[in-house]
Amino acid sequence: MPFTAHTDLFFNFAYPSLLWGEGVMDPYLFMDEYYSRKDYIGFYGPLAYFIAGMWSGLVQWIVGSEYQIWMHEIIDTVGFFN
Amino acid sequence: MFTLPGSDEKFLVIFLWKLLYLIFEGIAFFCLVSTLSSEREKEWFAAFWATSIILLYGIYWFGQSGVICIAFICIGLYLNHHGGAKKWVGFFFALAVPFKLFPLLLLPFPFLMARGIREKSEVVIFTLVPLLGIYVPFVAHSNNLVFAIINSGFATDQVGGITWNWVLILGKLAQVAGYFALCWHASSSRDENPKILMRYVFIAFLLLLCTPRKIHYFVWLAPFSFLFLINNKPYRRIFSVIVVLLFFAVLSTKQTFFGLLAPLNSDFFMSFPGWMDITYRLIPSGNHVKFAVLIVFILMALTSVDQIFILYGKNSIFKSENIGNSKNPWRPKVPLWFPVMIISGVAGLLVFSLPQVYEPAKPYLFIRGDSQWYRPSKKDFDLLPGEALEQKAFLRTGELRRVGLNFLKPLKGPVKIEIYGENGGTKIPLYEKELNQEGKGPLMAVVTPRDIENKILFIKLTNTSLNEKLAIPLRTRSLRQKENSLALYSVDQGKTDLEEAVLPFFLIENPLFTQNRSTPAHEILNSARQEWGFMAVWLLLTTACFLNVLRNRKLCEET
Repeated sequence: MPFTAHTDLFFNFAYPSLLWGEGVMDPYLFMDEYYSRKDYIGFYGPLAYFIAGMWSGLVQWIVGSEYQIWMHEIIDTVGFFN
Repeated sequence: MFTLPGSDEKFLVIFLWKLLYLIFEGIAFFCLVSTLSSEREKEWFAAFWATSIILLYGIYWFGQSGVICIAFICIGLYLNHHGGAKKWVGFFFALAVPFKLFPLLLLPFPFLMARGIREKSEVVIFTLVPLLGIYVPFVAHSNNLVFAIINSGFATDQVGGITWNWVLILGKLAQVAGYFALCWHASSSRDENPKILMRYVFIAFLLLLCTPRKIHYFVWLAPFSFLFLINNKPYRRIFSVIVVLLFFAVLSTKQTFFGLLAPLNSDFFMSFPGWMDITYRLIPSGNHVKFAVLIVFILMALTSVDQIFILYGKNSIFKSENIGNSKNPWRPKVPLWFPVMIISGVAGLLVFSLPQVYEPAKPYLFIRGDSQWYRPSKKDFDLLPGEALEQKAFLRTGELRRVGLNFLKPLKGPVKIEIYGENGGTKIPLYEKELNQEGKGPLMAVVTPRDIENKILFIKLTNTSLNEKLAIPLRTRSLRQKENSLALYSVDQGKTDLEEAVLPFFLIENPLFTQNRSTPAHEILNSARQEWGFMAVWLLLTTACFLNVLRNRKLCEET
């Protein structure tokens, strides 16, 4: 169903894109340093990060480098969900 | 968001993301179906799986990732069913935990079912190795942030206030008592039937979800429930009721309702109210949700008790049937209806999304429901010290729900933010604050619900630094925002209009039908009168779904 999506889908894949994109191995520390709103720090377990991160490498390879730009924009919007 | 560079590929990206889920769903399906003995049971299992609205909604419409850890659990069950050692069952159960924490519930079972010190020790080692091997480096590196999601805003937003507290207390008691009964049975039973572990998993997840959370959490339970629905007609009825009540009671925000279609037309689909916005407006007490949650709890608890009875060798409360030897050639045709219904519904909504068609209904929908789906291209504007940008924004209903600024990146200097309405030339202040976000994070100002009589709002941003100019990321003014003008107030040149630019503000209003509340009956009539177009589409869709459910039920009864 590619024409439907919930913002959680972006949450699931935006952070893991950092694995290939910026070589971030510890997303939790990244969030702690990146965000001022500490109440919304958090991600699923490390395996969720690495599985989705490896898959994001494949997505990036197919889609192109602008995938990273897009994902980083999404990371920047966290904390502004209604 | 979809107008950013790279967003042309949005559907390809969403497809690729969901492809990962499809792979893991395939693994889970293969593992579970291979534990069934007869072809008839496999056929039924596949039919339940293919027609499950919970799986379709949770995994693919919604896009939740729980199916990945379910696949790990299913691999463990597969190994157990085909004579694999308990240590490997424990290993794969443990491998699901660093994905999401809920499989922690299952970790004691391989240990309790293992026989002898040696086997138990092996299970402990094989369970702890993946857990410690994955978690310890993160705990050491980032302290306990790896567990931050448990206490974060993401977690605490989920169940607040949707049911009575006494139902939650009863739920907790049922969970503790039921889980204790499972563990007791696992430690004392000498039953070597491999299906017993599946029953433990099924009951554990029944107990976990007996006070319903979000719909997509039921993706955790659904695959295992199919194993037990096959030979039990009462269960099929119970779970049909639960599914209907779940969508009635737990379908909450606009993002989980028509907002799921936002990739097609983000502004339009995110402007629809959420299901709860509608139902709570009609029944403000929320009792409809509370009752639905109570009924789901009773049905889930009843099923759990029945399963625990069976586990302890008692007779089931319900009469079961043996579908394995049935010769009834039931061929589920429901899967054929799903695409037809979905494509018709989406096509209808897309026609409705054309500006010429839905313009008359615009004031009755939420306006700019969510900012993150729609983010036009940006350009930086240098705001000199003492200068101010004033954004004028027109409201449609005047009943302001939320307004704010979202710069994505922190501004590198102090600013003053003022948000105000205007009535007869007099400013009505809504928000005023001086902020310095340098090095802190994205900047946001939020106003709580207010009525704005003349439906005009101003958002003013002033550079209050003494000598630093600030780069303000403006957005390109889209056609939808053509009436929202932006002006620059400079010290020497006075007011200048900035063409084709807007401040990165977001604006949410309540639709007209939520106003003029009087009696519930009057409100229903008033809502129906004002929303006849929306109601007609909605009625059409729900009627189609209802008829399909009736048809499916008839097919089931015939078998």
